[in-house]
Amino acid sequence: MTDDEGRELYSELLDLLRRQGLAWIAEQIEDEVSIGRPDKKEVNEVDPLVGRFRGIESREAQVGPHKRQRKRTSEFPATVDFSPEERVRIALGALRSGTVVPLLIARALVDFAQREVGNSRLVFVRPLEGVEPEVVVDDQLVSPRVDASQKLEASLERLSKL
Amino acid sequence: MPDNRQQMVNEVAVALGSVVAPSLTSKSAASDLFEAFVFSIVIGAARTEGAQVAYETVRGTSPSQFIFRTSPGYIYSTEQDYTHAILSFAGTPELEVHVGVRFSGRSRVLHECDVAVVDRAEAITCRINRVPPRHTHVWLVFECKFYTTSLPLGLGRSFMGLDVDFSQKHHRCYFVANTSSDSLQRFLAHHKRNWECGVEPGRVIAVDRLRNEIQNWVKNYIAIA
Repeated sequence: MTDDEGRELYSELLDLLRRQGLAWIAEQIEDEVSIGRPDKKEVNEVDPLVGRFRGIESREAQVGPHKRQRKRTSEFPATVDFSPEERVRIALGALRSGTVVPLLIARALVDFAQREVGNSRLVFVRPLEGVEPEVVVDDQLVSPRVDASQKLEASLERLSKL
Repeated sequence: MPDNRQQMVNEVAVALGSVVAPSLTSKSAASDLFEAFVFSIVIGAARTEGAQVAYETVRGTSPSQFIFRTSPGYIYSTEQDYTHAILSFAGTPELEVHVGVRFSGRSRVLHECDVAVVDRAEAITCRINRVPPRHTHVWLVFECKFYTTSLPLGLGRSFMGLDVDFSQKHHRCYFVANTSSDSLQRFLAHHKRNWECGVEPGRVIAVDRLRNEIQNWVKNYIAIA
């Protein structure tokens, strides 16, 4: 995949997420991409006495003819921009995490609820009187989607190998 | 975009259409499901260590279905018939497992707690008197985070605040997430906090490690209680 192809695919995946009402996933992807990849960087430290880089020849002239100090470098934490290909991988991983994983969790919960209280239905509701449940999970909702999610996972896998 | 790539993107779009259920795949719904999933892991771990598990609603009745909070509330709240678990180990005081309740920390500030294991006597006292549980009676706290990308470091910083205001001997505070992040893991490990990342169904190592941590705590609880 060339950089241009990577940029195009990344943009296409984010558009797709927004069209499907999954803008929150697109936002998390953009947040991660904007932060960049953690990295390390070797840097020359500034001499605390003269405020200049160690090893500069004119140093002795400025601070006097005492012992020459060795150039001191240190490793600093840094970040680098993700490559277009890395951005695509982040987007594909996020797409899976935001769509397939909630279904897998829902599947596990439906089985758990059936086993524990003999009813596969789980209800999630705000702690206010008279409000309707925000999330209702049951086998009817979950099973067909879990089957469909296998197809989605396969498609994502193929796309990641481009 | 080359044709085959465009075709694959179209395939993903079609597959997404059959998978996405707004009630399951919104950001808040995914977080709610994840908290309930961690609740189920706690129950499984306790049962492995010999717990008798029963379920109860906030009104003291036996639930016909699980009802959980979508946002943190009070343990005594009767606006909805929320479910909690009761864990009984032979010869030890009973415990309760709750999703999304507030408790008071060492500073007496109220904290939101995604999943908590509380002394049952304290929980009953709190329901009768309409007060939140005190940190000294909250044995386990799980801060659950569902993300689709690497976890922002800020989550670790806020978890540290919770942990500091909760921690005491034999009590544990866990950071549990479905994804991970090198920076956050390094941060939590450096500060010797309890954490488990990559927890999702099918990721056996992460789920088992969390379950084992809980089992280990249960073993000690039985020994000291």
